Amino acid sequence: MVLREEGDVRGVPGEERCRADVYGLLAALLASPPDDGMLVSLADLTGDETVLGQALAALAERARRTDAAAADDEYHRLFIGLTEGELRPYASFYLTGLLYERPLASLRRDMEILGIVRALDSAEPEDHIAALMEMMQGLILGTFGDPVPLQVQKAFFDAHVLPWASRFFADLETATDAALYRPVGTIGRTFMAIEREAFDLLG
Amino acid sequence: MTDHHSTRDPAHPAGLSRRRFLTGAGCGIGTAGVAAVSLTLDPAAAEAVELDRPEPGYRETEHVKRVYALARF
Repeated sequence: MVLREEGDVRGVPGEERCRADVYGLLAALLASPPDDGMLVSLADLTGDETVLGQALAALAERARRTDAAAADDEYHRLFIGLTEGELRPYASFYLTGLLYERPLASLRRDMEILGIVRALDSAEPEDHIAALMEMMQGLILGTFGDPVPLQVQKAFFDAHVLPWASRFFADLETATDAALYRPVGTIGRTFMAIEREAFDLLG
Repeated sequence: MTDHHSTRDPAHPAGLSRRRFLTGAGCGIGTAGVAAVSLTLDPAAAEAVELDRPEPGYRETEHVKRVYALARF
């Protein structure tokens, strides 16, 4: 991986940087359960009066009342389970009812075009919600090369995130086993709506 | 092909309305300390987080560690 100049990091405007941070937060919590250090950091989150801010504050509150073992249990009940978790966070599943379907093939084609390479030791198909959140973050920050234009981000979002992510986050919000992850669902659902509207403003 | 720079220009109408909308929706500069819990694959960005803080605690260490943990995707 090529290190970029610090100036490039700073070169992403504040509100675009914030988008990347929210995608990064969602990616982190959906890829694996938070450990104690991450929970301490989450507990420090504060929120303003916006819906997004309130959801972040709710996550901080829940983080203060749980520990890594409980978070790990919850994560496994939600996404892994003994046979299967309560939710299946894959584009293919949400769009076709099956895993490894056409949405995954379509994503792989676009990943190739955008120069996004999958890590060799990955056990998950790339259309996992955490991977998609991470890809959006990377497109904004330029993790896979230069930061990509907003119109390209919009095209990727429209093709691979918009068709199903809001439904997934709404399911997470109302999942029986969700406690710490309930506000994560709210953050995700709210943020997807913000992204959609902000992209629409590009015209 | 749209010139993406035009939408990043605060003086450009589309860029300005987008910036105003994002900030108003709660996504502005330094929103709620999300950067501290946001994880990135980019080592340069992780480094920048450390440089921002004169006394790097374990939170920053966790951040950097997770940069690599997440790379499995």
